[in-house]
Amino acid sequence: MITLTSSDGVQFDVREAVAKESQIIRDMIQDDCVITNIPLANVNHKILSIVLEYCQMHVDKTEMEVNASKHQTTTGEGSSSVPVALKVSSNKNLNDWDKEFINVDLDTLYDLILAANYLNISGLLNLTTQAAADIIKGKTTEEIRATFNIKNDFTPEEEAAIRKENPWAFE
Amino acid sequence: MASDQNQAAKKPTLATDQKEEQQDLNFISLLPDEILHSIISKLQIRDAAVTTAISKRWAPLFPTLPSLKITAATFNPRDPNFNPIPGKSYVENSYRIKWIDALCSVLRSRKAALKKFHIAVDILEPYADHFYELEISNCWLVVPSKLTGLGSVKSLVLWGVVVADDDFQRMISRCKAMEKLVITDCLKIKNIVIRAPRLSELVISFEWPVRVVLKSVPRLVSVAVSFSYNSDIWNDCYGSFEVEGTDDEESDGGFSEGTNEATNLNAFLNGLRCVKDLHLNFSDEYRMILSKDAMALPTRLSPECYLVELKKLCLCFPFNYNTFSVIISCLLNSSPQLMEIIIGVSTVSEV
Repeated sequence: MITLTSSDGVQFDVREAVAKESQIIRDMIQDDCVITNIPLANVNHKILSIVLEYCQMHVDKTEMEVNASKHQTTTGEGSSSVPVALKVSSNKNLNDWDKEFINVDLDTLYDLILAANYLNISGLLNLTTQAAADIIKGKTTEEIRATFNIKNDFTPEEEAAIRKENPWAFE
Repeated sequence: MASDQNQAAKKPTLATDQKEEQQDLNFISLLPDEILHSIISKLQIRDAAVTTAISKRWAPLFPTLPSLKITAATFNPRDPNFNPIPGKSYVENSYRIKWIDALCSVLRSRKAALKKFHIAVDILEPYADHFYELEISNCWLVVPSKLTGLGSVKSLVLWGVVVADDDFQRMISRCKAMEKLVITDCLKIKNIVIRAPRLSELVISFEWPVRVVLKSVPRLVSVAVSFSYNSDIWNDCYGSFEVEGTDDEESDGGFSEGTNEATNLNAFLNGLRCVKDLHLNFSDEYRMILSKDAMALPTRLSPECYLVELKKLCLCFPFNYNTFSVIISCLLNSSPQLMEIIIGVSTVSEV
């Protein structure tokens, strides 16, 4: 077990495998194998608990698959269709789970992106940036500004000039 | 008041009530460039380009994306009534010109170098018959194994392109209509074997050794070849490529240890039967490599390879060396129609 401490002092005890979903924690543990308590200065407890939920789920799923394939190799050959189906269904479940998991408000999404980047969890970073991209997708500039509360700091002339650079995109 | 706003913006992790966010609290714009790049790179190019007009923070992001992927459908309109044929990525007919315009505008608005540029288009299938000139410079080029286009290209210019021998060969073999071919300092090319029924003008300029063989060039009229063989550049560039070690040139008699530049030159001169105008520019470095095998240089070409059409010969050599006098006498002995000789001084040799 490893203890992770959030920026606001809340401690989380997690299995090593779960903590190791984070590349920086993996590096720390590899450098010094007796490490048991890791303070995370840039993640508060609310976000850290969400991040750990993600890591927990992904570790569990991976372990389930490994066990399933072990089971297959011990029970005999020729029945490869079963684990493949299992794997597909578990991937599908995991994707559905991810989709549900990332259905959060913008502030949380923003914090999750930062946390995934800081902790270097590539799967989560990919998931969160994809979610941000999905929000932007298909929107006009005005709609994007409104969604994210972004203030238009262009003068009308500047904005016209920008739009003229790639006119096809604004048709 | 203003400082309060700044404070709030600097502490994005403080949960705020949605309703309070009337002010400029857009956390997303505070993300570092690399994350915003990764978000934008997950968008279709059309959506990505739209982000340039959001605000000053966003404007430079799309033009500095490290990689771009363009497909035939990339610039298709957003129009909900527009239904591309499922499974076929293509440039819709009425949008062909727009496709080119859009690609140009994307490239023109670039503000940083691309690390990766992927164009997946059947070499613009609808345009394949309209490509008359193709100029490629300063990039890595991988030629698809099933290249179908380029049949109408009349002028092909490759400049500073990194392309493997095989790929290069496949490409020029597709250019059946090619009339002009210019190849300058293309890394990895070691053999240039040309079979081109319509080729009339050939320009080859290399800093490092390359073997040029003219196999079937019945209409070739004008040839300019420049070998400077600047050994510094050659070692810098080539050394690194040799290390990669995917090479198969043992059998090609490339130019590693057993290279015979004189044989290569000989093979080249033997393909110039129809040429009227010949420019040769050889450096002192080239002379030094060549002189190792000077014995293999012919004093005259065999009669069936005489340069019977040659009218004008332009030579830029360091002249005071025996090696080159052998070449000159060979050319003179083999060119019965020669009218004009222009002699220049090889610039490299003087320095």
